Amino acid sequence: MRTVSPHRLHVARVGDIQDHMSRMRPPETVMRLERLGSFHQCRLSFMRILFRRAREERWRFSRAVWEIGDDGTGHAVYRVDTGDRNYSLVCFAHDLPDDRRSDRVIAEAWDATFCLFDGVPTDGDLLRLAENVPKQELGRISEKELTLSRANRSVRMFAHVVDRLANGHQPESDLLAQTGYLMRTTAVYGSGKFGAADWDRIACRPEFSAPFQAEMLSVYLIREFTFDIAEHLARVKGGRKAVGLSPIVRMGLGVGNSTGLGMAPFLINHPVLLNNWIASRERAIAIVRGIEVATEAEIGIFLDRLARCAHESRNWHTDDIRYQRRIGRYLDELKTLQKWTESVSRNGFPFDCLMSRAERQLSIETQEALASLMLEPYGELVDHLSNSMHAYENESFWIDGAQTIQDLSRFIEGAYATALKTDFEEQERKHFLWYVSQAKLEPRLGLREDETLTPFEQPLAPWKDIAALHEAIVEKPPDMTIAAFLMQCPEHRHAVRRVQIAQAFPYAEIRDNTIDRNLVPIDLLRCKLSFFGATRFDPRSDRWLRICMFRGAPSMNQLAETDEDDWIYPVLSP
Amino acid sequence: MTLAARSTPSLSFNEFEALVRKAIRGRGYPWGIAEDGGKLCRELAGYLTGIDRVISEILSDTDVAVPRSEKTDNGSLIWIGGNGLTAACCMLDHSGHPADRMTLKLDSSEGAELLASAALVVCRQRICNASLNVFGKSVDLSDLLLNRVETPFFAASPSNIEIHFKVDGSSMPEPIFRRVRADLSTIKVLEKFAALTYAPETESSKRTGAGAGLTDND
Repeated sequence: MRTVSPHRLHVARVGDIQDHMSRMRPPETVMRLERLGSFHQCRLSFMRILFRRAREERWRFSRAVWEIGDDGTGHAVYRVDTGDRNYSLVCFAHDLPDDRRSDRVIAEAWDATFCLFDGVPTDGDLLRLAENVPKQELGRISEKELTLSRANRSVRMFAHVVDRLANGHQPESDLLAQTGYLMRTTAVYGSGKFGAADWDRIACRPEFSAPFQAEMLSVYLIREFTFDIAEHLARVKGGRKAVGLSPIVRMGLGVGNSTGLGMAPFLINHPVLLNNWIASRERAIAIVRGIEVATEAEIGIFLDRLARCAHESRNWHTDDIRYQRRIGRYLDELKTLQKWTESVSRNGFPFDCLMSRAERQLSIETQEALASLMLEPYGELVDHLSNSMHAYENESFWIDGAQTIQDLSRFIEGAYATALKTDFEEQERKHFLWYVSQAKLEPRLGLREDETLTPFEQPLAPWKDIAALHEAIVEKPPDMTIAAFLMQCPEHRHAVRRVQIAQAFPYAEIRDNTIDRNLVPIDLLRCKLSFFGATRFDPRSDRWLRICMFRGAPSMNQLAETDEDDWIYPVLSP
Repeated sequence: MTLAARSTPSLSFNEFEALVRKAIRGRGYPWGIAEDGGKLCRELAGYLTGIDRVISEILSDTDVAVPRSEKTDNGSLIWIGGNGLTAACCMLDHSGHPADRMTLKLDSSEGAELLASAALVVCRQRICNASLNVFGKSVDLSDLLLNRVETPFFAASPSNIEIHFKVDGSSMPEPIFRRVRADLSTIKVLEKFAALTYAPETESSKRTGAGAGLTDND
């Protein structure tokens, strides 16, 4: 039988590349913080990329070591055999008193600590890791390790699950649905941090070519550990009466995560990577908007995922008042979307119609949910875009000194027009400053009025810096080269680099003032976390939030039986 | 804990780049030069040992100075002043210039190795090789990177350096090292400068800087 390649299908269905490029939403719409802070997971989220590969390549998972005592402390090793290579999650379980449990980066002890080892660790490796991994930032790992991470129990949920299992019962479904995890990670470090292997060293491996794949694999295996440690403690407590987690319950449990400001500057510090993530998603959205006729099956898949998303979203709880209002409206609007779909499904360009209407009438939260949901029926058209989400940042790092002041200035006046209109003399427009604290070397947000912080300001205010650059270059001859300008004014070097990157990568720059009084830092966090594949964003303040990852995912012994890439939307009960 | 407090400072390239970047900034250089300096040191550390020493000497011994450029009668560029770090940045910025020959007269020969790193970046972009001429002694960049040069080329070098790019389609060698084996004493110097970019911890910043609560027993 003759098969049609995804590429041919793609061209036949949606026209040429130029056509869908023209449908891409412009950066000035997409790159606003309010919108970035409304992103939802989609087919291009890193968790889902990992799962598709693991399923397609039939990765084999196993628990290789379980040396956990009756007190719940000890170590375990989980192994993944990808066919070409082995990776091992080395886990250390600790006895953590409640008064020492903190999700903050300043914590010094955790319920469990982990590292992802490249290969199969020897006894010597395990001894070395036992010395270092539990210390986290105060320890030291090697190029044999790919990630370093830790997790704390969700005390209420963990105790409930252990008690119920010990007494021969499954956990209560309401509590499961509300919390959604047994443990939450508080940091997952990779890319050379604390001595780990550099990403460049493993980027050539297909399984790690997409962003954050080693980190996603670590979190997935941590999830397995959370199941096993709960079952282990239940057996210790309940003896023969105890039962294990049912497959359905396992599937309904993810891994929580607490994320604070440490993650926020990442998007500003990695503009090319940000561009590649956003551009891939925008291209996918444009491809689906360019589909002239959707089949009944495709509309059916969309409606199914929409219904499952709406169902799941009813368990999206938060104490944050702003988010409560958002979620309330979002839930109503998902119903509206369902009605609209039924009416537009036979029209030409149904998803373009839906999206255009949503852009006019629905909240940004729902628009972005729609943008993600409408990719669901079209894996064969959009999944390949995951191959363009990594970035070799060195290639675009170096400044083009031959560019003229006139050329740079024209671009700034177009792309940064709003930044240039911002009055940075006004206190509110430069209300915050980003700095790095001495204590944990983590980024923090301070008030500019605290003058003791001013000397430590990090270059995380592109609008202000680029406005200052523009002010400096308008004084210079238009034909002056950037090289000559930077010899006179080296203080603008970092801003020149940003602008030149933004010229080549349209989605590289956040189109908002990152030090404005109205800044909501969790918008930055949510954008990144949505690309991880996180759900249930639960702001705990405007500076940190909790999320859930891998909820709905098959556990490691079920993965081979999973056909569809739809696990992130829980199946509706009949 | 600092890197210097550990017994074997084998650093990842990311760690090394970040440390150098922060140290350069801490020493008072502009952010953009710190960014370039971090990358240049990272590039060179893939081939040569002792790059931690090179950058720590620049930061310890010289003023924060930026060179000025002049054109010679034959149209090639000449830089006067600065040190290896700032001159390397200027050289990178001028790499698109049609002249294939660059001459530098540094105030100090400290960090002249970074010019080799800048030349490496330019050669990668142009797919070419380069020769470095220091006081009449010439060496191929690829030989320098592959350690085929007998003595430390830049040791006690004078300040006049000429770089000649030869657009011959040759590619630069792949990095030799996978880690940065640094010296404890130089790491201490770099950490001392890097620490100048960190704001001292206060109770208020601890409580509110990251925004989180203090306990999470729920």
